[in-house]
Amino acid sequence: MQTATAIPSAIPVQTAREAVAPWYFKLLVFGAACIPVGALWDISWHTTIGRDTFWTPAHIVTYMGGLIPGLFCGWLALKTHFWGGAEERAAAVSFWGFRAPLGAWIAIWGCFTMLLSAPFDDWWHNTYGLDVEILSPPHAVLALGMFHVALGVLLLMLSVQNRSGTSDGQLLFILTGGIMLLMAAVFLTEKSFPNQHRTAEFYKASALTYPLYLVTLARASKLRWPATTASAIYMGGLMLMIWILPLFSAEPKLAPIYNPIDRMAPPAFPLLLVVPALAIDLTVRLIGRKSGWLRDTLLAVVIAIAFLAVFVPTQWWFSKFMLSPSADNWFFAAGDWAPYSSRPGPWIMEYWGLDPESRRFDPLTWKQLFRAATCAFISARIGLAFGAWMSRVKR
Amino acid sequence: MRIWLALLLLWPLAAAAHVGSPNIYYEGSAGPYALQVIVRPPDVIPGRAEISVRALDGNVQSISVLPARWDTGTKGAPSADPAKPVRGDTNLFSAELWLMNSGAYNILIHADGPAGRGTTVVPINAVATARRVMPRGFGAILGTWAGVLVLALVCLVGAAVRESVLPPGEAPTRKRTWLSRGAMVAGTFVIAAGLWGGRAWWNLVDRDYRNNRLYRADDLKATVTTNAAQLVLKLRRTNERGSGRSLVPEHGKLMHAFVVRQPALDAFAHLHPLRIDDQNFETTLPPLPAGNYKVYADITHSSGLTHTLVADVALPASDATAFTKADEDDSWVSSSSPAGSGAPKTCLLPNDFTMQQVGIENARMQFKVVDNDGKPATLEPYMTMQAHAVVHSHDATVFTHLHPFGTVSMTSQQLFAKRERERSDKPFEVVCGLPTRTDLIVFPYEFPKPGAYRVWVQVKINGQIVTGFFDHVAS
Repeated sequence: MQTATAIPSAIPVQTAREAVAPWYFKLLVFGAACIPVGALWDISWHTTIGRDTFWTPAHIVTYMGGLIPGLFCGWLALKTHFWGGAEERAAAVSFWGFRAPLGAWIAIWGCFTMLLSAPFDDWWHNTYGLDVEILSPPHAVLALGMFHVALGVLLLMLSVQNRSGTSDGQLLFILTGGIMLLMAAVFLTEKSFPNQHRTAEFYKASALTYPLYLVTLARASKLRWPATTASAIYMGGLMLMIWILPLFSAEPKLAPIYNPIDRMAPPAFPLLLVVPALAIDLTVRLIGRKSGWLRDTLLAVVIAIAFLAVFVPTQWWFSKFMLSPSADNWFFAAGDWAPYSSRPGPWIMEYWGLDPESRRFDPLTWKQLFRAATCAFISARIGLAFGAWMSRVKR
Repeated sequence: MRIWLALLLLWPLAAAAHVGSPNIYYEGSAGPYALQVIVRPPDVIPGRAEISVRALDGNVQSISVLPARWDTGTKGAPSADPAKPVRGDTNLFSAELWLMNSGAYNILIHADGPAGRGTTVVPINAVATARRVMPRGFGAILGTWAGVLVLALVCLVGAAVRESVLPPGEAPTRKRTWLSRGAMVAGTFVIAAGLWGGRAWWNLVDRDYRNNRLYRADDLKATVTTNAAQLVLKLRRTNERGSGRSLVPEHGKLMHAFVVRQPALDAFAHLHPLRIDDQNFETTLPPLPAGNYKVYADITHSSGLTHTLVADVALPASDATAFTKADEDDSWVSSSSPAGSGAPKTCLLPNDFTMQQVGIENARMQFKVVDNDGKPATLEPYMTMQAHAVVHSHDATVFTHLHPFGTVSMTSQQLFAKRERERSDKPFEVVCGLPTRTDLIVFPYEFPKPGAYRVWVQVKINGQIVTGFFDHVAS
């Protein structure tokens, strides 16, 4: 028995032609892209110049990333509810008595969450001092908002694709997926320097995060190599920032300056995520087309093992290269991420957390590897469930 | 009660070199120019210091400022920031500077004018002293906002499960509706777990701030013993944070201890305990009346960071017939109220001189010492200073020890200049000592909050250290 709703019962399902990606998708993707670009610019700003206000260009770009999709989705929600045709209203979900696409609601929610983080962050600075770190509670609220803005954009596109049954707009979809991957990587920056690629914490944090994104995209997208493509977008975006930021001269504006930088500091070189992403794509293509609770659980075990079997040796040895003089060039920019406030020294090109005398001694042992595998399993299992749902989203 | 608690938490716990008086006052020369500088340091680090610079002789065209930490000096400092002229006042400039790390900083003030450039250094402590709680109204707004977002998220989870996968136009089945309700309940638990995790994280940061970043002066324990019919004050400092830096003398003494009877403030001594070892100091006590006293001990670390350690001690009635000064510069006074009265406020000194309070205004406390004929007394340097002053509030929440050049540490200034010379191999001189005007004693200072204060002013005349004192009500 069906529940009574206000939706007209005889609404025709949209045709493939009607569901072609609307013009504003590009605007929404641009907005979403502003978030990681602004965040990376802001990190570079704090690393190089230090001094900032709320109105720095980097902050403006970051908040534009929330405001553009948020405002646009707000307009979309109003338009759908008040002036939308029967078809538009039928392709929407109900939220507090209003009707709009689910992705629009989620992007609006993300935008308001981003805005909430601003006064919270300001109070935080006045109470505990300016946080010169990425991981802080107000920044986590901001990141949560950013994530939902991008997720909303992703779901908007997905709903159109899934209704049309074509792969129209798949590139924009996977571009947004890559942007979300980049956002997650930015949030993990403080745990992901090449110097940490032999610590347990890095592998556990990565295993908990990346399979979720990669597996979700692998299952939800209709592209042939979605996880690999999204990883390539993440790597490409980060590498572009590595090459572009140092083109601009800048100098520290805060004391003490231990490391006199004269140009914008780049982020650290990206993780080689395309390698484990390829493994995930292959696994999903080979044995992950069908879904089911038990099947997906077993598949998550296989994906977790495949992810770590490829990711650990890749980063283990690539980090050795990144900490060698061979990587000290404009392409890899090894060690150039070091901020003005850090004392130059060999520590920049050494592994961290491997000294048994250190308080931060945290080597990757078999036991820790098992924990990382557990993290990867949980992440992959959620990703499979989330991806399966996303592949069916139509509103 | 809660409001008072909040206000108490907002009030700076301590101000490192002083108690309850966080602002830094400095008056001195920057090359050819006379400047008065007020620094309002941030109460959390990293934070912004507000700097006001007044050109006292009116011929300064521009002011620029830069912060230099003690260990990196100007080599590790950014380029100087121009201070903006304050509208409506031709001689006043203001600027803001970020202080990023805890520790001893020096604010370099460059003054430019027709006579070229002059530079002076104002040492300050960059330490977190504020313990804030979220204002109730702000918390309510933020909490409501967050609550609405949480509610919205739970509803979005429900909407996602109920309708998102249905083809357009298809109504959700009863089963799907119940499924969405279940998802909303599960979502509520997940969000609650997230909020609980966030709260635990916040508590962790707060605990770290309280235990590791919030400034806490070393503990000081004061005891009084009798030795050869003399009362001996023993001070033991314990350094829990273990900064480990050695102490350096401040105008010739490793420790300046001020002993003030509570609550009447009617007995005061300025002593210089001798160091027994890194933790223990002791000195003989002058003949002070019995009672409860507060001991304020000023020390300076080799980094230039200054501290005021505070202890309570009860002095017994002493039948000591002899008193031998442990240090020739020790001095004390015991009297319930200034002997003189009227306007200007006066205080009769033991050697037939009179100290007058000329005025307390415009961030300046001004005094003069005259003889019986009204002629200014000839003041001799007392521990290299024209005069020393101590400001103490009657509620014992404010204590400051200052000099005519202000509340800064002369040693910190000189240490910085010395390190600059070593770092750059260039001359770097800072003059901080006796003022040019001898007939007037000027202390740059503003009372940090309204209330009743007692101010002791110490000078040396004819080889004798004398102490005048005045009461002042700041409004």
